[in-house]
Parts: sequence; C-alpha cells; structure tokens
Amino acid sequence: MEGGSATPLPNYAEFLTADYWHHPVQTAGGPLFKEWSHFCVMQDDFDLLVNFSHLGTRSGVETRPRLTVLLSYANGLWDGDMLEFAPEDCTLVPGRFDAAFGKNRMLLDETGYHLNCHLQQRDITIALDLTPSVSPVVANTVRLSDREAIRWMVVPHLRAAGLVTLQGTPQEIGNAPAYHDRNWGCFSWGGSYAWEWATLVPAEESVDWCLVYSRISDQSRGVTRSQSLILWKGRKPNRKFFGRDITVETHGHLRQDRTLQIPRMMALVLNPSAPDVPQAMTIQAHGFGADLRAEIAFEGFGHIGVPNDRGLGLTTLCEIAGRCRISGQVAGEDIDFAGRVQMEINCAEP
Amino acid sequence: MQSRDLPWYITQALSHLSRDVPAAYAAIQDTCAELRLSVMSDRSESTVWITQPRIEVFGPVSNADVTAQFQETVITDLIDARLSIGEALAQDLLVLVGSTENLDRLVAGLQFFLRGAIRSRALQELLDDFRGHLVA
Repeated sequence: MEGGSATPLPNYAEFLTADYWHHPVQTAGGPLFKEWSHFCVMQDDFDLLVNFSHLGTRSGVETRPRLTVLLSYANGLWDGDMLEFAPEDCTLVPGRFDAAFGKNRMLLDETGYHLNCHLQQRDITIALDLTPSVSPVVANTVRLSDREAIRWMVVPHLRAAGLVTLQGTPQEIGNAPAYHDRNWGCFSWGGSYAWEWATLVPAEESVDWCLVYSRISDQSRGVTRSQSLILWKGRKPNRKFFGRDITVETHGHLRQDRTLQIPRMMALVLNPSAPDVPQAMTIQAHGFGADLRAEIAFEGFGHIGVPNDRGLGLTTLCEIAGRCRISGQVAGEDIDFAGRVQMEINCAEP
Repeated sequence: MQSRDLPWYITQALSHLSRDVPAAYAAIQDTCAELRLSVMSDRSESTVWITQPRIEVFGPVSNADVTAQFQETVITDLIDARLSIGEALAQDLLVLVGSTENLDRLVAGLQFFLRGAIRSRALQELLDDFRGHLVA
C-alpha cells in the first residue's frame, strides 16, 4: 500500500520539514521525554486509532517503543491492543518520519502516509494509505504546567483508503475522513495537568473546513489553563480562537456496559482516574468576523492505560468516538456540515 | 531444567517484579504481610507466603489464610479481559475462600501486582511464555 499510482502531494516538502521523529532530550531529574505519531480513521462502520510512540525511561538512555491500536465499531464494540517492542527490534531515526516497530511500519512518501500493522493476538491487519487534504502545521508550544510543555504538529484532515482485516474479515476503507498529529516533549504521565482535545473532520471530502479543539486544565479538570479552537479552510488555518473566544458546555454522562481497557490487563485494575465522558458537547467560538457552533454527540469510548512516571499511579487516556454538526458564518460565508469526531481526555491518578 | 509449571511462573513473576518495580513488590509485602495464599490450579498446587525479606513460593500447606482454586486458562482469560473477576467468581471459574479481611488484603495486593506488571516488560514477556505453556 505504498506509493503506487497515487497523485504526488504538491506540498510534500512541507511534510518532510514538519513531521519527523525528534532527538530524545532528557534533563537530569526532569520529566521524561515522550513522542508519538497518531492517526485516526473514521470509517462509517468503525473508527480506527493507530499510535506509534516512544517513551523515555528513568535510565534516560533507552526509550520504550509502543504501538497502540484501537477500533470502535458502530455497534458499540471496541477492540485493540498495545504492543511493546524491544528497542533493538525497532527502527526510528530522528529527523525522519519513517519508523518500523517489529514488522509494523509507518511511512511517508510523495503520495502521503502509509500504515502497515499486524496485531497477531487480536488478528488485526491494517494496510492504509492516507492522503493529506491540508498542509501540516507545527503549533506553538503548549504549556501543561509550570515545568512541563508539549510540542504539537497537526495534519487535521486526510482521506484514508486501504484494507483493515478484522478476525479474518476484510473491511475495505475508501476515502474515509482521517486525522494525524505528532506530539513530543518532556512531561510526566501523572503530572499536574489534564488535557482534552478533539478533531472535527467533515464526513464528505468536498467540504474544505475542519477544526481542532483543545483544552489544558489542572489535574482535576476543574480549572482551565488554556483552550483553543482552530478552524482550517482548504490547506491552511483560517481562524484561531483562544481563551474567552470559546465557550464549551457538556451535557449528560455517557454510559456503556463494558469499556475496553488496553493494555487488557488494565481491566483488572481498579482505576479511579477514569474520567467521566459527556453524552454531548457544544463548542461555540466568536470573534474575527466569525461565529461558529459545533454540536457533538458522543457514541462510545475506550481507555488506554499508561503508568505514571513516578509512583504506582496510572494515567487514563480516554478515546471517545462521536459525530458532529458544525454551523455558523466566517467572513460572511456560511458553514454547515456534518462530521466525525475523535476526542481524547487525559486524566491521571494523583 | 526446572519444569515450567504455575509455581515456577509465580516465582519468576515475583522475581521480575522485585527487580523492575520494587515499589510494587514492597507494597504487596506491606498490604498482605504474612498472608499465606494456597494456589490450587488444575495442574499444580502451591503456596505463596507473602513475607519479608522475600515472598516465598513452595508446596501445599494446610494452614493457608486464603485458598484460590481455578483452571490455569482462567488466568489468561482474566488478563486478556475475556472474563472479569466478578464473572469468574459468579461462574465458579475462580473460587476464593478466606476471611473477608484476608480477601480484601489479597485483592489490594493483586492491585499492586498488576500495577507493577504493567510497568515490567520482562513480566509481560513471561506472560507470553505462560500462554505458550497453557497451549503445550
């Protein structure tokens, strides 16, 4: 699923200079370096999340490469796994995008991104080509706390095609909306912060709007430290709303009988850090000649458990699937489209 | 070469835990101090004595504080989340016998074991080896 006859990206050079693995930088006694490359594909009947990560260890010398795959089906079932690899079984070169964790690969070439993954225990095989609809943006450093910050590169709208085989059943993906980002920096799992972010991408390729929302708060999620909503039109960001330009309301609590936890062993761990998930959320943004409203309905969620860097506590990354309706006006132009949402809430045990 | 039965895997797991995540190992020792757990599977019987300075694993005893009876496949069913502990207990796939206080201590100790296991790659590799042992 690499290259082939696909059309070359006119802005390929932008991806080479924006999207690559970074040198792990570790200060003595400081928060551990972390980096991941994250993809979401939002097909009609299932959503797919693929995350290649390498996380610093206390020794400061080696990192722990991990591949996380999460699937949510329209019928409410979730599947997935987290695989951890020995560093010697991985190829990851700072300054380059491409990486191989065992036989699992992520590649970038002049036609776009390519993912090839196989989770033997779950009988999941992924072969996907992702074509960016936008240019990559390296966002400002996001301050998480007094001592911690995270860097962020985002490609908020891609179209995905390929094949995902689930328990022997091939599922063709054709022109599904997708999202990609990369995060890196020195910060602690279990640090004194929490985040929530969401990508809102149009279901139809012909819509050239998309949005990304994020909020950084204290660990209890009660006090907002910063929030932003970025609106893209075409290949570039069109509007950026911050702080009081944005109003967020949540409604209800989403309940589900069973929540997938990965690693699967996490299902046995009593985990008080799991965050509440709303049934619905409304984000409104005003200013700069724009008036936007995003109505989000959440459909289900899965949990990824990560050990805190210190102590025996855990951080839960709650991955939430949903649908949205975006409406409003920007510089006199009406916006009204239906889309898909992937939201993540990070919550740590103290 | 020593045969790889459940007592061997428990001994190895505790060894990895003490080396890789000593805080979890110490928390188990504190929470379950002097608890004797009788482990009766379909393939072996052993005792885990949670004591200082090291947790000991040895043969069956008659004075265990808690007895756990199960088929060994239940371990991977639980770890792979095909089964919850509540379901295993309700279906008698896992039978725990002991005082409420000792059962509470055991559950708390198990929580520390799991929090340690998530942090130890050697322990996760041992678990993969255990899956092979079940198939063999």
